[in-house]
Amino acid sequence: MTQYDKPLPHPNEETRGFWEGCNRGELLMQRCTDCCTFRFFPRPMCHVCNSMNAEWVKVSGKGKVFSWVVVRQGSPSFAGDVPYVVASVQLAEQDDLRMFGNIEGCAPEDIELDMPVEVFFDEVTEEVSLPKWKPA
Amino acid sequence: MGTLKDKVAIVGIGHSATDGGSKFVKKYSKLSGVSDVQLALEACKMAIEDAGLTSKDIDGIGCAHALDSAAPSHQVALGLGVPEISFQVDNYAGGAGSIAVVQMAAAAIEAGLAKNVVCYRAMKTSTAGRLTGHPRGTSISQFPDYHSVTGEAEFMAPFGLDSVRMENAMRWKRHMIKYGTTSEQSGAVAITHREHAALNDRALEREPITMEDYLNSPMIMDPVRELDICLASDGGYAVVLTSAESARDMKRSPVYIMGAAMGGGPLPGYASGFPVQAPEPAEAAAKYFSKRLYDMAGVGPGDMDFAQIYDCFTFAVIYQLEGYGFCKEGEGGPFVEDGRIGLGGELPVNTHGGQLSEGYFWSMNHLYEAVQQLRGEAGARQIQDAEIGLVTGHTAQVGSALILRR
Repeated sequence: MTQYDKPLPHPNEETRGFWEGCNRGELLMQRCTDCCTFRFFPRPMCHVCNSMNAEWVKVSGKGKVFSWVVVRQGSPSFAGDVPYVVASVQLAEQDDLRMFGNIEGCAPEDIELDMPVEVFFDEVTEEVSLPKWKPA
Repeated sequence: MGTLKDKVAIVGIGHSATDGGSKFVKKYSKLSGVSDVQLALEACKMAIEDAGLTSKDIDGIGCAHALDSAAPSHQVALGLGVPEISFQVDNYAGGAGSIAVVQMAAAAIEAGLAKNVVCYRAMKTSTAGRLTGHPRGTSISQFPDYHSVTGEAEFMAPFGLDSVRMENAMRWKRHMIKYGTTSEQSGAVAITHREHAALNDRALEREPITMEDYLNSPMIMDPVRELDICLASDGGYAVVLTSAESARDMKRSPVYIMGAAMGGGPLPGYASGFPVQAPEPAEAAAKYFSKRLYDMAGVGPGDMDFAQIYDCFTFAVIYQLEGYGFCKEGEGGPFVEDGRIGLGGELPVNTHGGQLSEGYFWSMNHLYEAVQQLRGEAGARQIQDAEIGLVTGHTAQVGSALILRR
């Protein structure tokens, strides 16, 4: 088996829950247990009410394309993947809840603003599954 | 509320030797054997001499840096032999940081914390020390820990989102979709900058380009082409500030700070050119603070004889023209057409060629050029009777700006 040569997450105390969810095939988002606002990237405090109480909530894995880029000249680790798409995906649960990810399963030129997408998990190593997106 | 208006002046400007690996094919700079600290010292030395001072007169020092080539202020103070430091700041703030440092220095002088402060930015983006994964712009792919990323990068790098260029491309894509801004409009920015650079012997890229050249330049990350991205370069720029009162007795005609402001909107993302949760990533931070800036200065956008605008990318100029009120939100694209931002146009922008064609020095080179224009020393680029101008520094959603007058 060839060695996986791309960056991998090295989870910390704030991010570990997210990646554990991915390994179970669940997309988890951090939600404030006091005012119920979702936030991403994971962080210690709610930006709306400043509560530090949060829980990981399984979300639907549905979203739509907020913006995207088609990478045609990438870093050496990704040279074999070009052209590839990185998008900002707006999750169904909250208007400003967005995450970055690759869109696979369609040609880059077919991607449109607000295109519906859904998550899937790519088990890139034994330890890590990456959340990626495909047309819904 | 206090004000910095007319309280502090720039009395000295300087730069180091500069060079660049500015072609897309990696080219090593002749400065590859020179440290960033040396470049900072060269720039500071020239600025201090330009002010008619010596390093023994300096009692404050400030610089900006980020995840990169940095000449920290203690090393530069040591190198200069500053006898006693009264004010010191190393501002970890990306491209918004260096103009912000000048504001902090001015505020410190006005508050009586220091008398003569040197502010600089020295960096080597084409050779050692900084994000050299790509000869134009930044990538984390050369970081030693690239293959095991922590924090925000965990949610970016594993997807091949490993450079500020890509995040900014997503921002630009959004502007294009939302407002119908075109590649020809970003192309007009690139072409104008090169026209200005042709008149500037400090500029690293002086060969004229046409719209055809622009449109044919390699698509790096659609919709961003090679010629949308600032240069990779090695060098440093510096300024010396003092109080308006002491500036009266100095060697050079003072250039006064009329207005200063920094800031941004909600939920900024420093490490991200595309703040992940911000309401609208395609807007310019300046919309949140340009009113404060103009109010302090007592002037408006229409009073500017020039604007030296932070240009990490062509389209960063377009956002900021909107954010600083030269046009309405979404109208930055049409604004840059028809020579409006060229020398002789309604609002000459980046008369030295900017970071797109002179070199990438976090707009301390923009400040240098602004002072030259206001002193009437810009040579072939001189704007007749230039009296007032704008200088900006920006990252995505955080910015800083000065309005200067002669």
